[in-house]
Amino acid sequence: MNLPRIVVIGTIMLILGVIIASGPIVGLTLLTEAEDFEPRGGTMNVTVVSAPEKATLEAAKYSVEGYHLRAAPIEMHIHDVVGQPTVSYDIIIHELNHTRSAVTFFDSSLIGDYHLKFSSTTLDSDRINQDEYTGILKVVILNDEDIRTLFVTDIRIEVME
Amino acid sequence: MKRDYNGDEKNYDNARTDKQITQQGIGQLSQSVRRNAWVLTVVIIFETTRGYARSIGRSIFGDRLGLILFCAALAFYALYWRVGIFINDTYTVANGFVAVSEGQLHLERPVYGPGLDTPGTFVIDGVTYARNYGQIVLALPFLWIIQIVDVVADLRVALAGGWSLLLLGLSLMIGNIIDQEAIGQNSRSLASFIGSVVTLGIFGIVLYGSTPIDPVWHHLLALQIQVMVAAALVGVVIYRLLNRIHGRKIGLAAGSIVVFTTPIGFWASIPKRHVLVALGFIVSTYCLLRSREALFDEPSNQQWCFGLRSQSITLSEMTLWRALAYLPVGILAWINALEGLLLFIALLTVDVPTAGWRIRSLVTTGFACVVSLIPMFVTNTIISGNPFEPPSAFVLDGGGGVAKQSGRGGSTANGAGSGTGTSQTMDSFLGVIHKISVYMQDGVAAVTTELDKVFYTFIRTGYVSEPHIEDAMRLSFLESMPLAIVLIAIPLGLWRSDIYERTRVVFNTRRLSPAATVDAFAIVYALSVIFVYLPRFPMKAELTVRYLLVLFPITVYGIARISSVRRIVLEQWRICLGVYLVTVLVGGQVFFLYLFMTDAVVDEFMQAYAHLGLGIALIMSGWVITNARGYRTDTYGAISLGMAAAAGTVFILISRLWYFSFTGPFALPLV
Repeated sequence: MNLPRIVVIGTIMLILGVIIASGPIVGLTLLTEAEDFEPRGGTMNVTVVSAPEKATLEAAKYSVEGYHLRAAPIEMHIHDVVGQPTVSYDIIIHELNHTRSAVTFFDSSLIGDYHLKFSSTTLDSDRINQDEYTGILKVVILNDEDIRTLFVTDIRIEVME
Repeated sequence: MKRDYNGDEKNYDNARTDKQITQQGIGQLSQSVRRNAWVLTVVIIFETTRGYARSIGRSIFGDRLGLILFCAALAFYALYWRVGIFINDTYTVANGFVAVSEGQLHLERPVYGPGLDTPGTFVIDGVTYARNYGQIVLALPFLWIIQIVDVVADLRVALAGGWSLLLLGLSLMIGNIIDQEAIGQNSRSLASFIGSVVTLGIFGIVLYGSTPIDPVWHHLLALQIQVMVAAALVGVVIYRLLNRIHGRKIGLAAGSIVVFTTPIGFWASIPKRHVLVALGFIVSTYCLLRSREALFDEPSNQQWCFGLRSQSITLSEMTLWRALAYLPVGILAWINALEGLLLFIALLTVDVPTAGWRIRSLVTTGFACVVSLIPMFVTNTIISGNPFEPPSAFVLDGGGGVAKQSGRGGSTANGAGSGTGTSQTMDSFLGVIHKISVYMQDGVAAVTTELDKVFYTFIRTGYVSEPHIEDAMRLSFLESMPLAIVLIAIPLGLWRSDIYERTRVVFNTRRLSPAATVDAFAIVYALSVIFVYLPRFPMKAELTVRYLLVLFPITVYGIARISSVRRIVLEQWRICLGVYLVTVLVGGQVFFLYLFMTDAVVDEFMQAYAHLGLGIALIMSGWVITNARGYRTDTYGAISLGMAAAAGTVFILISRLWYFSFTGPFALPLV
C-alpha cells in the first residue's frame, strides 16, 4: 500500500472514529456545551468609556428610498457578568416620534472592553424635513425584574443628503 | 484472516487450503471451508453492493464529472448553510413536516414559530393544514437519516465529518481526473496529501467552539438538506443534458454556472419550493431529450414528426423516456398543483405534436402521468374530500386561496353540496382548467400592455413602492444573473440567419431534432411561467425574482446553445476560469470591503450589487453585439463571461455569509 493511500485511509478512519466517539457508545465530549438561552436573565457591572455625540440620518444610496439612522458604537468596559443580561442601545427622536432599540445579549464570555453596536433603521423620506434633530441616547440593562438605565445623554442627529 | 478482497488474496487462501488438506486432515478442512465461505460471502456482498451503488450512481450522476459537480455544489452550499427560518411561511412547511413525521396531515402543535396561524396554513372545518405536502413527504428520508445519525453520533460532529469527507472525496476525484487527462503529473498523490490536510483542518475548525444541535431543529435540517441536494442535482442534470447535446466541457461549464453563480445557489438550504420546481423541470427536459434521441435511433422512423401512425412495437426506449418525462408533473403537482400543471401544459404543447401519434407510447405516457398524480390525489382527498381540489395550489403569494374558499363554503370539503361527488370532482377539474386559462390571459395581457412591469421584473427593479410592498431588497432577473444578457445573442443571431428558411425546413421535413425539441419545450415552459407570475409582481420577499427561479437554469441552457459562447468556453476556458477566480477572490473582497466601509445596510447592498450586475451586463453586451456583427473578440468575451459569472457567486457569498445572517447560526461554523 502506498503512502498517499495510507494517508487518505488514515484520515477517513480518524474522522469516522471521532464521529462514532462523539455518540452515546463512547460519549466523548468534543463540543462546547451550549448554555440555555435565557435573555434578560442576569445582570452586569459595566462602565461606559465613551459614547458618540452625534448620530446621522443619511439619505439611502443606490436608488434606495428613505434615510438610515446610524450611530457609532459605544465603548464600554465590562467588569462582571452574572447570567445573561440584555443591553439595549436606544436612540429616541421625539420630534419624529421615533425610537430605535438595538438589543445585545451578554454572557460571562464577554468580560473586558466591548463596543456596543447600534443597528441602523430606516425612516421614510417624507418624514425628514429638517437639517438637524435632537435626540436622546440611552443604554439600559434589561432583566426580568427591572430596567436599569446605565447611561443617558442628549445627542445631535445630523441629516446628511 | 485476510480481509483484502482482491483475487490474489482469494487464490492465496485457496492455496493454503490445499496445503491443509494434506497436512492436517479432513477435520480442519471443514473449518477452512467455513472460513473461506465467510470471506466469499463478504466478497459477494461487497461486490454486489458496490455494483448496485455504481449503477445507482451512474443513473443519477451520469459519470464521474457529474458526481464531482454534485459533491462540489453540496460542499459550496454547506459553506453558508444557516440553521433557521429565512421566510416566515417556512414555519408552515416545517410544522407540516413535524405533523407528517408523526403520521398525520393536520397541524396540532407549533414546533416552529409563534403559532399555527403562519402564512400558508389553511383551515378546513376547524382543522389547520400546511402546504407543499409533496415537498414534506419527500423530505422524510432525510429526516430518517438525521435521526439514525443522531442515535449513534453527535449530529454536529457527524455533519462536520460528512462535509470534511465530502471535500476529501472531491479532492481525490479531481486529482484522478487531472491524472487521467494528463493535465498534471502526480496529481493523485498531491490531491491525497492536500485533501487530507485540508479535510482534517476543516473538521477541527468546525468542531472548535461549536455547540450541539438542538433536536428541535432536526425537521428543518432535513428540509434544508433536501433543497441543497435538489439544487446540486439541478446542476448535475444540466450537465448531463448539455453533455449529450454539446459534449462534456460545455455540460460541465453549464452545470457549474447553474450551481455556483445563479440564484439557485442563493436559494439552496432555504426550504422553499422553487429549487424543487427547477429540478422537476430539468429532469423532465432531460427525459424528453433521451426520448427523442431514442426516436432518432429507431431505423423505421424516418418520418415521424406530425405523422399520424401507430406502430406495433414493444415498449421502446423512446416510450420509457417519454413516460419518465411526465413523472415530475405529478411530483410538482403534489408540491404545488399550479407548478405541476404548468409543466404538464408545456409537455402537452411540445411533446405530443413532435413525438408522433404512437398509440402505445401515448397510452403509456398518459398512464405514467396519472400514476405520478396519485400521491396528490390521495392528499387532496384526505384534506378536502376531492382529488381535484388542491388545498393551496393557486395561491401565488401565500394565504389560503382555494382551500379557504372550500373551507368557508364547506360544501366541497364535506361533500354536502347540491351536486354529486362525481359532478363536484368534474367541477373542480374544470375550475382548475378555467383558472389556468385566466392566468395565461392575464399574463399575455401583462406582457403586451404593462411594459413597466416587464422592465422592472427583467431589467431593473430598484425601489418598489406599492400599497403592500415598500422596499428595495429585491433584484430583477438581469441584476440577479448578469450573464443572462448573453441571451440577446439569440434574436440577433436569428435576425442574421434565414429564419423563414429554417422554419420551412422544419415543416417540410416534419421533424425536430432532439435538441430542437428541448429548445421548444424550454421556451414554452418559460413563457408559461412568465405569463402566470408576471401579472402578480411585485410580490413580497421576491429577492431574486424567486418565482421565476426555474428561468435561471433555462437561461444557462439557452446560453450554452449559442455557438459563439461554446467556442469561447472551449477555446478560452483558461481565461474564463482565471477571470472568474480573480473576480471572486479579489473583486468580491474589494466589493465587500467597500460595503463594510460605507456601512451599507441590506437593501443598499442589494441595490449596490444591482448596479454592479447591470454594469457587468453592459460590458458583456458589448461582446454580444460585436460578435453578432461578425467581429472575433473572443478574449473580450471570455473576460466578460468570467466576470459576469463571478458576479453571481460574489452575490451569493456576501448575501448568505453576511447580510442574511438573521436567518440563524451556521450549521458548520468555520469562524
